[in-house]
Amino acid sequence: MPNGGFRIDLRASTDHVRTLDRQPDGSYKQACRNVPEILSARQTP
Amino acid sequence: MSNCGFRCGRAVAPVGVAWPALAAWVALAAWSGLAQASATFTIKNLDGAGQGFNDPTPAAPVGGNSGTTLGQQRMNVFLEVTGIWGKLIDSNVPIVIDANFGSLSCSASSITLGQALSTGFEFNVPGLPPDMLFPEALADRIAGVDLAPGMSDIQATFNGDLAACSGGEEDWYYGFDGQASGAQIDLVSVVLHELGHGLGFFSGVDDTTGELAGASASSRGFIDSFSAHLFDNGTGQLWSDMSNAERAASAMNVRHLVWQGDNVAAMAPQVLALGAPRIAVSPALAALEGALAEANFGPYLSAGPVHGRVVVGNPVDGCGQLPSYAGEVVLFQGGDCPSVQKTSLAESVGALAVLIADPDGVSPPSSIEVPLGQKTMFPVSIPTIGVTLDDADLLAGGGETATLDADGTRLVGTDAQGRMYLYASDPIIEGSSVSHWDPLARPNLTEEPNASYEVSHDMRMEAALMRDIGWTPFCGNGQIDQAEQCDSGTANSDTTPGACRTDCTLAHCGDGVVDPGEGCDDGAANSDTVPGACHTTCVAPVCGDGIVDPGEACDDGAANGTTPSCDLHCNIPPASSGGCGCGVGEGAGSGEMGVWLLVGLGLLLSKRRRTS
Repeated sequence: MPNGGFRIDLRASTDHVRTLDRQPDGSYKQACRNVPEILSARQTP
Repeated sequence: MSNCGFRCGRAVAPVGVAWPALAAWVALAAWSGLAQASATFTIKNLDGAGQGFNDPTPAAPVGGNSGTTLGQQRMNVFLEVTGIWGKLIDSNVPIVIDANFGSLSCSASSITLGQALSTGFEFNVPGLPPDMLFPEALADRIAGVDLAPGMSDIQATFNGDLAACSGGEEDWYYGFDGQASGAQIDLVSVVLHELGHGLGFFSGVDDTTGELAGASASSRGFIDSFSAHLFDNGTGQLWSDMSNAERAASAMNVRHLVWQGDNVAAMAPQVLALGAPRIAVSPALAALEGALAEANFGPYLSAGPVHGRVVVGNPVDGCGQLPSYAGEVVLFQGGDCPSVQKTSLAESVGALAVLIADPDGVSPPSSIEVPLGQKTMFPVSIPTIGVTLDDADLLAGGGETATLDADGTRLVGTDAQGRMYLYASDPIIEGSSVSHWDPLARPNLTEEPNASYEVSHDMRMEAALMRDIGWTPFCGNGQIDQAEQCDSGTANSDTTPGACRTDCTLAHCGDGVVDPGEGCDDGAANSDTVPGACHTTCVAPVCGDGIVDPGEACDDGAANGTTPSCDLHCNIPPASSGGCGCGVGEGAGSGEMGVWLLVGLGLLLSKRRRTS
């Protein structure tokens, strides 16, 4: 690194993805979970 | 100084796309107890032509969002959200977000809404506290420089096909006012939540193994700036002091994982309601966990306690005709009718309260929320409380009498010491556990793991947490932050009379600058005893101040002119100077008396002239 020190890359993380989960009564509830498929939708510069 | 200048909460034009409608967001009032800060965000639009932020589909302005295409409205939401966050945190380094709206996975049971996360952790960089991981944007803020030039700080991806994904059942709400209908997802609150993760509201610890980020064969890894504040009030240990196994156990120690940080602790009483729900049963059930959840309909237990025998509903799911439950607490489990409907039915047959077993078998139970339409359709006046599946099984054994009430001394969402609960869950829900508030908090908070119909744009608790992890405000940002007396930004000066000083203290006597109203100021050299010195009140030395300054022969302070030792001009009167050589014996006394007689006579004549 130009400033010294170290870096851990998190760009492949699939954590804390906001989802909309169907409930037994048919309603939806937002939740956070790991969703590996998020990687395929992510654009890079 | 208190006005929000141009840099305050500024979002920068998205890179890579022409954008006509900047500065459209509405400035929000500062929340009580939290001064404004200032950070700049740069949103890099990574969508292709006609996609996501560039979607040309016409759209009607809504809820304060003036965009007239879908793409504009999406970008306006990002500008609104970064504007909100930008007023809550401080940084001299622009925070760069790679952003796009893509086609995200969806199924009949789950739709992906989006994600925003830091692109990395920085550690052991000069200027940062050693051996601690900091998310990219926070590391830049502390170091005061972009530590990874050319790399964005946060990557954000949201669902651009939500309507199609849900078969037209759900879609984004692009307004800023939180007025999403039952079939709309408030994009502002979702982006607020996700950017919170991106800025540092997340743990780098593996929830399942307790392993620290950066662990390898040769290193145990490093605690991150968020996890360093996690404390287990059951074991009395900080996460930074635990072994991997202890951290993994703590992540599941429901309602024992709390936040240790001064800013959050100070903010909690300003935000949270008093009256945490609790349950006691008789005869006692030793294994009863007692982790409860509230519903967003009906009264809270703080409205009044409930005492009655617990009975299992018949049918157990509460979705059909019920027998009389007069004076009883009814327990329901499962079913596919709305929970508010179950409570309405139970109330109609005399029940005092309803307990609903968490459908997911997770502890703590999720909040029970229904849309406004259902609340209107099924008005209820008895409380509904969520219990864990394990507790429901215990209570279903029969015979217990439950007392449900509210602890009036405890905030809803904190432990007895007022420390905020984090989401310790059993079992671990990867991507959700630890890195959120416990869902018990009332009112609902932005960084809770779940949300359904109660939208929150109130960021006070999240902003407080950010300060705890290192997003501390700095003097010179032009905003008066906590512990600052003033802040004029670049006009702060240690040499300009009357200016706010560079340490954000008001100009004051003793700062070494002669400010308006001061006669002098020599800083630390001000003295009330040294001859000729500027006084500690910033008054210049003067005859009558009790100090014999240069040019004075004497100075008796207020007694000057009233005693024979010093006159009003700080000269020693001749009679007492001894200069005449007669200042001894009785003669001297006689001469002194003569002088004072003359002074008295003069004063008497002067008074007569004034009154005639």
